[in-house]
Amino acid sequence: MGVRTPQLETEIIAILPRLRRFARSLTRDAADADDLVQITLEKALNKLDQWQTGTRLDSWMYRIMKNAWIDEVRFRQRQSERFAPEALGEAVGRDDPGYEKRLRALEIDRAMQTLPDDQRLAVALVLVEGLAYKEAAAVLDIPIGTLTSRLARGRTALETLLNPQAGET
Amino acid sequence: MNWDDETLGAFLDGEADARTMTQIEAALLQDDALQARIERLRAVRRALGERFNPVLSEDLPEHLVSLVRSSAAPSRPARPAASGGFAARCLAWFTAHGVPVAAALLIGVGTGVVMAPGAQDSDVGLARGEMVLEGRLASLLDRPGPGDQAGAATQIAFMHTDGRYCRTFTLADTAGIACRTDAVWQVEHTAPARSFDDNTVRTAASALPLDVLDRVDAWISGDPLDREQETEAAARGWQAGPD
Repeated sequence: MGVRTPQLETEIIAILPRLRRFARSLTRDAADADDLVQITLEKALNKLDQWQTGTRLDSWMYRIMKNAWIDEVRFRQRQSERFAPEALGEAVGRDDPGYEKRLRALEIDRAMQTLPDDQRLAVALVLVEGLAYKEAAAVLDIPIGTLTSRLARGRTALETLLNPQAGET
Repeated sequence: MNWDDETLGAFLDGEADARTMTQIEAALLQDDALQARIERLRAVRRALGERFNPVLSEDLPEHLVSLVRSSAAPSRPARPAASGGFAARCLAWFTAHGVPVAAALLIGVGTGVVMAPGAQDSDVGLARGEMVLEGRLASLLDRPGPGDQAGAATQIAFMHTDGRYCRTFTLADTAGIACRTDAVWQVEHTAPARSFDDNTVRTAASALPLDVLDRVDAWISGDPLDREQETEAAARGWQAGPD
């Protein structure tokens, strides 16, 4: 059973960068991502007694974030379309040195948003967070076979979206 | 042989079985189409990394940190400059940890002989031919800050000149120094704890015999750790950090 101590708080803060990255890969933008991180932290701190000491704290918090995202955040994500490259072009100008990089970032964000939720979660946990299949399957409460199937479909879809010029082989 | 994307993905993720890994590696040497396919799939992970990994080096939003830290102890007072001998530095350490002198006195008495209820079998063990601390004492040493539990206590944490973290402890009528060696607290030095048979005022550190204090003085690198340093060290499992 987890007890809130300064040491445990330090461990949670050490996980925060990865939680923010996971959230960023699930949500539309940085503001929604940090909203999700905040909700996750509040839920985790409120039920620390449910965390089994000796088990992975990061996996436990990934799971809370996954549930929070599914239950709450996804349904109140802002509806405005924020991924138009034209809008970016107007905002920063094509001669901005970071333009190409930011455009690529938006392409990836938009590609992730097109994935069904279950595929996006599998991609985020394995390809972004680097979890082993077994760990990711545990976070998602699904068999490994289901995880690998979702991951493969997600990866193939992203590959097509991000490399349209390469065509089908 | 044709592999589906699920198998190729498992290959890229290092999750395919050994036989499949070998087969694909061999095929890649002579199959250009397979090479191209693998490279396109590999590019997905690379693109995601380039997009999202920079988040790891961003400054953490203060509101998220303070949410986690809301139950933390009152902020630590500025650490007095250590000067003079070891006793002075011990007092500085207790001050830095926000331990009032009165509490320090209680710790000192509690960790000495006066309240010692006796060591338990589970407090000490052997590992690789060395004596190591286990059970409640090891748990106390794992946590940052001074600890005191039924006759087992820890007082000072410091960096040994050999790069290990070490902590002083008292256990019933014994005092000593244990240093973090891999995943255990290895006992490096022991001595009889000081017995208090007079009414003189003493500091917490004085629960430790001079023999132990002298040994700390001989081994210590710099000053004893302050609370923040102890918390950081504890979060790393008391393994030396990059700095």
